[in-house]
Amino acid sequence: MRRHLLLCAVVGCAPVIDAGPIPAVRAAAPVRTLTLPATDGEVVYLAAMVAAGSARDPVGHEGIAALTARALADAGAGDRDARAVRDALYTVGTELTVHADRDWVSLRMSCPALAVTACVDLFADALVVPRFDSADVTRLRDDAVYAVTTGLLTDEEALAHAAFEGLLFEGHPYGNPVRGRGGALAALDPDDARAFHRTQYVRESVLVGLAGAWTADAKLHLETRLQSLPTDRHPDVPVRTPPAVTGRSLLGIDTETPVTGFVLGHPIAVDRAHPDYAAMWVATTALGSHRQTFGRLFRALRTDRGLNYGDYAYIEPHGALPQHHPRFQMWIRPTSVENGPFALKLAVLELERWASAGLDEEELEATRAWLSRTLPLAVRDPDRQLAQALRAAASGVDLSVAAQRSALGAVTLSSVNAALATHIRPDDLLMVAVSGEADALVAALTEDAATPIVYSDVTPDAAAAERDEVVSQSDVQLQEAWTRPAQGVFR
Amino acid sequence: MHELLAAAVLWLPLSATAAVPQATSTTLDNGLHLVIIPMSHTDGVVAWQLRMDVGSGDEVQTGRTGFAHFFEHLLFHGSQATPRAARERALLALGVEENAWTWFDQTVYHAVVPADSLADYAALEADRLSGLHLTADIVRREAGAVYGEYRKGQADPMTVLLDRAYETAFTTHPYGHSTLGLLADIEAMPDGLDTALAFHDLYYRPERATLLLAGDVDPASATALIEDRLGAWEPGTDKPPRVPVEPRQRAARRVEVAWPTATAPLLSLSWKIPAHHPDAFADNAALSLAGMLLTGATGSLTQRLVHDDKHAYAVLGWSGSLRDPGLMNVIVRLREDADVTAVEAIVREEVAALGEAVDPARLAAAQARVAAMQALGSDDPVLVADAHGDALFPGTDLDTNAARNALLDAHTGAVDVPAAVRTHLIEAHLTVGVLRQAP
Repeated sequence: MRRHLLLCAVVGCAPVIDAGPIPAVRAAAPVRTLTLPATDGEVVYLAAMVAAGSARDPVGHEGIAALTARALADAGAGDRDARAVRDALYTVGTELTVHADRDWVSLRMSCPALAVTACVDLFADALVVPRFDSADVTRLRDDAVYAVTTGLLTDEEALAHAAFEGLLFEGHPYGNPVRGRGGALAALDPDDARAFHRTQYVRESVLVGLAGAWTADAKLHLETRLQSLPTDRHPDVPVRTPPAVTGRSLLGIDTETPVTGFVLGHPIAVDRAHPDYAAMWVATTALGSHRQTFGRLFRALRTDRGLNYGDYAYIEPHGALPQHHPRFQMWIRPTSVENGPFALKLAVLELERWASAGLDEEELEATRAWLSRTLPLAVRDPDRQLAQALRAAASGVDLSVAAQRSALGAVTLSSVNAALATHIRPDDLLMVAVSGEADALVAALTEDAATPIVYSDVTPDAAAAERDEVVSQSDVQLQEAWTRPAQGVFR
Repeated sequence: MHELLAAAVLWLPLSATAAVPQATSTTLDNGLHLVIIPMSHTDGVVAWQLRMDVGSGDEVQTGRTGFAHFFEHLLFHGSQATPRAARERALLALGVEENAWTWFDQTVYHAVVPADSLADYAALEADRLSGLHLTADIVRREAGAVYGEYRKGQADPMTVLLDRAYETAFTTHPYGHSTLGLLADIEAMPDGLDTALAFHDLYYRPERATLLLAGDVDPASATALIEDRLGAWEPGTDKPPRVPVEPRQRAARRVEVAWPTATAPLLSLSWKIPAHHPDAFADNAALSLAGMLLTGATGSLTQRLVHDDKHAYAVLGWSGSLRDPGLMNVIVRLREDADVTAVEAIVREEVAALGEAVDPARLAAAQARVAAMQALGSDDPVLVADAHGDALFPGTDLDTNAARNALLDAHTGAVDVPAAVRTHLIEAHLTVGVLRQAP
């Protein structure tokens, strides 16, 4: 059993930010370093966030941000080629995990404390002196081309999400898959990655952190290595408003898989810094929290009717790094083709009821209690605490457990329901279906016909049958609907 | 409620060493095995894992494949006293995040629990374990959710290829069918109330359960708490049916899958390997290291197929530690223009080379990585509970696992990787699977 050097409840571990929050005022200032109280454990956690996500892809170079990020870890760095980097990481027992998102790129490494010097060098090499060796960049590029073309076709749920974002942000930098589009990707080369790195990975755009059993020497070593990042100003990227969603439209993507799944929603203005965030967080959790069974959607579609495996709602994509352009979205996991129309109608009716009637006091209190009590679980170890602290610094929002609990505590029934009325627009919905019978789905939903649920051996009681009949007879009121084949969506 | 294979993609099923926090082990009077791992820096958080000793590898009844996993879903419907909706309200108030998964040998109910909710959560668990209440209607509706899960899996070429490879490799043992079950049996699940009740009565007994608690727990008070909450869970009286032994495989087998849409070809090579058992620990450890030396970031196959010859996008490997003899799998996601036959030959070459000799430096690196990886999971109570839970099987305990892990250690280990490869990774034990787009 180990002891703590610093007695520090998970809740109370306020990060120590050494060089001030983003935005930095001087490009030549040292890279901002954030530390959590050191422990006497056996692991040091290193992490960085870089404002170099796919929203910064130049037109015609879609995918360069993600390719550059992946190449940091897997195309050589410093004195080592890619194989030597892999061998060095392997021997230390660690991995450099890189995640590229819309606005940010994250790098994470867990390191045995005894090997911290070697880890800091590997981490800093990746950030500061990546080599972008040609064969490795080409391999990573080919891998990305496969992922956004053929690979997506074998994962209809990922395809639905990607297509939804593509339509929702059409003509906007968020409209491209983070990994890029097939045609632009295929033309990228190592020099493109070098140029992107040279302009985007500068002191001003990088935020690093240490947690776990870090030492002052390790921190100094990391900071010294990062002094080699350029002092150039980080290029400004104008924040463009996403296109508005007006009316209800449905894209049916035709696949060979005999299932139908949906993603639907619209942009909202509520990010973490918005005063209505906590109210919308509570409301959306009540509608359907990721992988939890208590939400309204889950109960209506899965628990009560066995239509599919799960149904959830979000105001920020699950697991995403901070993003400038939040959206409200619902995820209806694959149902049978025959029940696809009914599932969408039921989901839309639940959305309408939620948006118009809001929550009641009991639902509000139960949801608030769960969110408030589970906050410490999400930061239960130094790795998660560091990731959260970096997100907070990157977004300029206090994400400590205490601050989030305080925000949740201030939510009232009227503030939740007012936020719903303000931000959720059930009449303006973009919907994407991925279906083995997309044409039939669109036809069923545009013909204003009954689309009864087909149960497997279940005979609902009279009340349930009556409720189902209401759903079956309802009209999604599509203003526009069309289909397209899955092949080539992001070619 | 299903995370099939999610934790099985590494070659590191062998865990729980001195590097991770110290565990204590107790068996209650009713047979429940309790493992407690206190972690001083996890203030207010406890990882809960209830591991039931039943999975799809126990499904011997004709027409009821997939039932262990289906039952996992059904347990979430609660008891007569606390049915599903009331249980969900209780979980909201307690601030618990829970889920479950099923695989060949186990069904695992896991949760992250605020420490001050542990007593109430234990009571909720005891309530559903002893007093599960099912109706025909509940069973019928839940069957729809399982069907949805099956449909999703069938859209994934890797899932389909491995299902077919296991079907081909196992002619008798229930490892031959997937944990989700055969389609015809999934379609029959709506009628499964009687089977579900009998399944609960037979398998959901304390002597078939291991409860792991990791994090902010005091062993003495937590043991008393679990005795109080789960001590009344009644042991079973009937023995489960015997699981048939897979006949010895004497020749290589092959299965081909034609995929209806565009996909990169997939190649799997799967060899029969010994069960996870103290009698086979030397081979278990050697084959784990063999897997690391072949696949993963620095494996010889990864280097050759992905980096040198550019035949493949990725090389994956996994085996899992199983109660009965299972498979060690190497899976290659080929580039579209790669020659499947040539790649298959390269895999055989690299395996044969490992059977002749192992580079001492690479073996030492693999052993060092095992030690480092064990340390790296030591701060998260969920990973600590996973590590201990994955290592505990019938016939093993904390002491035997410590002895097994010593075999992996660079300083104390005396594993003979080439000998294990020559003995087990041979043609007579091999099943080859190929999936490619239909012409």
